[in-house]
Amino acid sequence: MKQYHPTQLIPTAPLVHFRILFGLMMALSVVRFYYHGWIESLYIEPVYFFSYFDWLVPPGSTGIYLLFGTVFLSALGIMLGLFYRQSACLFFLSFTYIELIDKTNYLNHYYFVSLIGFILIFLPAHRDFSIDAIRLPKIKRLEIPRWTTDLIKFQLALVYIFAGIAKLNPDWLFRAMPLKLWLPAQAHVPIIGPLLSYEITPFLFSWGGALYDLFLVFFLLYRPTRWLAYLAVVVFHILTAMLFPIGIFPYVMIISTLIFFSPEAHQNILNKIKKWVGSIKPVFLPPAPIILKDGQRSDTHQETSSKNRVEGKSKNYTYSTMWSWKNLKPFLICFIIIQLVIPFRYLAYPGHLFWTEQGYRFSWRVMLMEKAGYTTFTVADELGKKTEWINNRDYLTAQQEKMMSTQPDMILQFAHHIAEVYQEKGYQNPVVHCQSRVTLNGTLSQPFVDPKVNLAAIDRDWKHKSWLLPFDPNFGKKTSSEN
Amino acid sequence: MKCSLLALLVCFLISCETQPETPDPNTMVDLAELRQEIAIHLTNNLIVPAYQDLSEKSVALNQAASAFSTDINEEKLNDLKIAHQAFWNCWQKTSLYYFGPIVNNGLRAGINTYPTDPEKIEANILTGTYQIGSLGNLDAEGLPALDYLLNNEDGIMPLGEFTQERLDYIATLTTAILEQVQNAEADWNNGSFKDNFTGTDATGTDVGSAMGLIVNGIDLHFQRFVRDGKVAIPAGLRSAGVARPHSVEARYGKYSTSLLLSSLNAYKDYFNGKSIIRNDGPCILEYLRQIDQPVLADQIDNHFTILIDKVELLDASIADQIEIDNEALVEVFLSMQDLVAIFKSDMASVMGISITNQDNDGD
Repeated sequence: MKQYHPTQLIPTAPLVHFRILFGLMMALSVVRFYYHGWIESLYIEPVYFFSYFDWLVPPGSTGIYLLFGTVFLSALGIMLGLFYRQSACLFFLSFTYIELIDKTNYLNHYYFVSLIGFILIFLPAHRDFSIDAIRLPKIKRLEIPRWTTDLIKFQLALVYIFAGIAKLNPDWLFRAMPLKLWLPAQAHVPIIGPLLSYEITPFLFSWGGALYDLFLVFFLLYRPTRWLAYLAVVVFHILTAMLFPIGIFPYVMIISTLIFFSPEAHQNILNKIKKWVGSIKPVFLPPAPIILKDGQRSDTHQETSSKNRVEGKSKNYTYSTMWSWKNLKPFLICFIIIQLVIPFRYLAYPGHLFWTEQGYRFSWRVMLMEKAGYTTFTVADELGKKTEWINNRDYLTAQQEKMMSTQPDMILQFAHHIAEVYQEKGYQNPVVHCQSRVTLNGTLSQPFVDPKVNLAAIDRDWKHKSWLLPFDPNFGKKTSSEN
Repeated sequence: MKCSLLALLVCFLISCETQPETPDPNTMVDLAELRQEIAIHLTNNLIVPAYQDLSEKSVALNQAASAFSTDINEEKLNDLKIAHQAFWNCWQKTSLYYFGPIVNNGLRAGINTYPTDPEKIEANILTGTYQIGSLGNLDAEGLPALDYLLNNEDGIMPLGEFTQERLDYIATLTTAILEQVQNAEADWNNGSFKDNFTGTDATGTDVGSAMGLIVNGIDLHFQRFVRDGKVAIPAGLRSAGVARPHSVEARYGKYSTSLLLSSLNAYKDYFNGKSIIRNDGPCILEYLRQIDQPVLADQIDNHFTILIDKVELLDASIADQIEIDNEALVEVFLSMQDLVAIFKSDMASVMGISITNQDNDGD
């Protein structure tokens, strides 16, 4: 195996394409979010937010529109390569801030977007075919070190492979859950709909999906299978887009995985685009340097072949030291290690991961389980003189209630909020109990939280949540007749 | 190794295109078709007849009111009370189909806003200046207002009290009810909603599909108007244990329990596809059985039976029951909570329905 040189130079084109498509997609997704009225329904209508940090204040209606406006403009900035690093920075911060406001809205692909936004801050994606490169011609580079695109490939590989590993559980493989529940619900979908009710279909989808996730990246990396693998990407994600309400995620993956194609292939396409753009707007663009095959270039500044040249060694390649591999290396290695560890943090907790969800988020567990429930609360004063049954909907939207009902950290967070509200209403040391029923992957719903525990007295921390009742996969199977 | 994996991948892709092995004919039901059949049966044999019945009973209510006003005697008053209760009862069997026009056409608020406000009613009769249907007047009209006008605070309205002004107000209310019911019936029958509900929207499970609307309608209506409106609020469960017996339905006629029973029985029939004109048909419970959830189907059906049994043990008036033994109501409430949990967790989950009635991305 050849030694890996992170600083080996490759054409800038793949990263340029990624920048443009990612920026465009993000700008469009803000428009889509607004169009569906979700800014209103997810960030303005709620009176209470399940924020990740207590200090994180919901920004209010003007603030949230400003935030989304910032995401939109900075996404455009990324796309155009206009004040690129500032845009990437702003994009990452504003997008992540929005995500941190409410756990209700957690989605793996939002986490992915945040990570990509973060990575983009460090990548020289604006060094060609960008407004910055027109504004400041001296930053223009036709070649960049390969670690830049490799970092994005790594991030994509992580998503797929961890999603694949997560699928290696008995429910997914041997009960075809939750697809066995989800697919028949889509029996009305044109063409494939009638196939979805067959007994074997969810199994094929489950196994196919697991294999796809686990091995896709290797087929994408291996040149002879690349096209076939990319075809699989397109088919797979279009299929999921047809069957499940997963928004822009399929399209983000379809455009992101383009980065696996060879830099040369990207360069050819970029050259064509440049030619085309140049032919319609010759006045505004400087003559586009064209890279010929084998890395030879027609621009006069450089003449050496890109092969085997590495960052800093090319006399003409002066890469800004601040963002160089040498400087970023320790930091990027930490970033990679942390990401490799986070999805495994669930191992530190006892109990059934899907049930307790301790270490569930931020781990690429995508479309992995069907969980639904109903959790309600009673609040009493210390002496038990006054008891009130809380109507969740007085505090939460339907969506928040639904997400809270099955996620222990949100249950506890809400219980503490109730305690605070009733403390203010004059209850002495309010005692909060909860009644809950949750179903996981088609089992009959069963009690989720120990109803005897006073949740107001439980600390919100990362310790094991011993106040959850254990999951019984056979619940109700024996006793169902007597109900 | 790579080749075999590739082959598996290809197999997976092909599996989406080709027909798998021959299915077991017993288990293969076209679920999309069944969903549509349920929507059609529900519309033609449950909802349309329910509105028709409601409409007929509102005509009868008007006739009884005018018969009484031309001939004021105990018998005619009793007929009017009976017509009033019959209509109210019928409303319980109509209001549970909580999707489509009824959500926004104001029928519910217009005819059944309670508790009613006797002072406002008396003031209206005295001054004659009021606007039927205006937001501020909702608690002085509809069935609860008639309940007060016919029964008085203590259940007995002396015949001498029925002055011309009072009779006029009664006539105004019953006419308004008739109009609103007929409008709602027309909303249901003539609007485009019904066609979409049984047509293009009938086969799916997405937000806005017939099945999505049915399940969400049940969840919402049962929680808000049955559990909270009829039980939790009067029993004081939403107000720190301070009971609010005046908030019961049919406060003056003292038959709140029978209205609750009508509602619960209507729910049970709804799940079983049973209506006043047909004993069975495609229904939610059948659907659950078809998607391999017979235990859940039985559980829901049994739960309604248990709940109905519990309610049958209550005093005829929920307000009196609160005085006698509020704990019995708490038990009814908890049983209802369990049922809501089944709707929101098991039922929504196995049917693939989003219970928030709202489009959202998931992963």
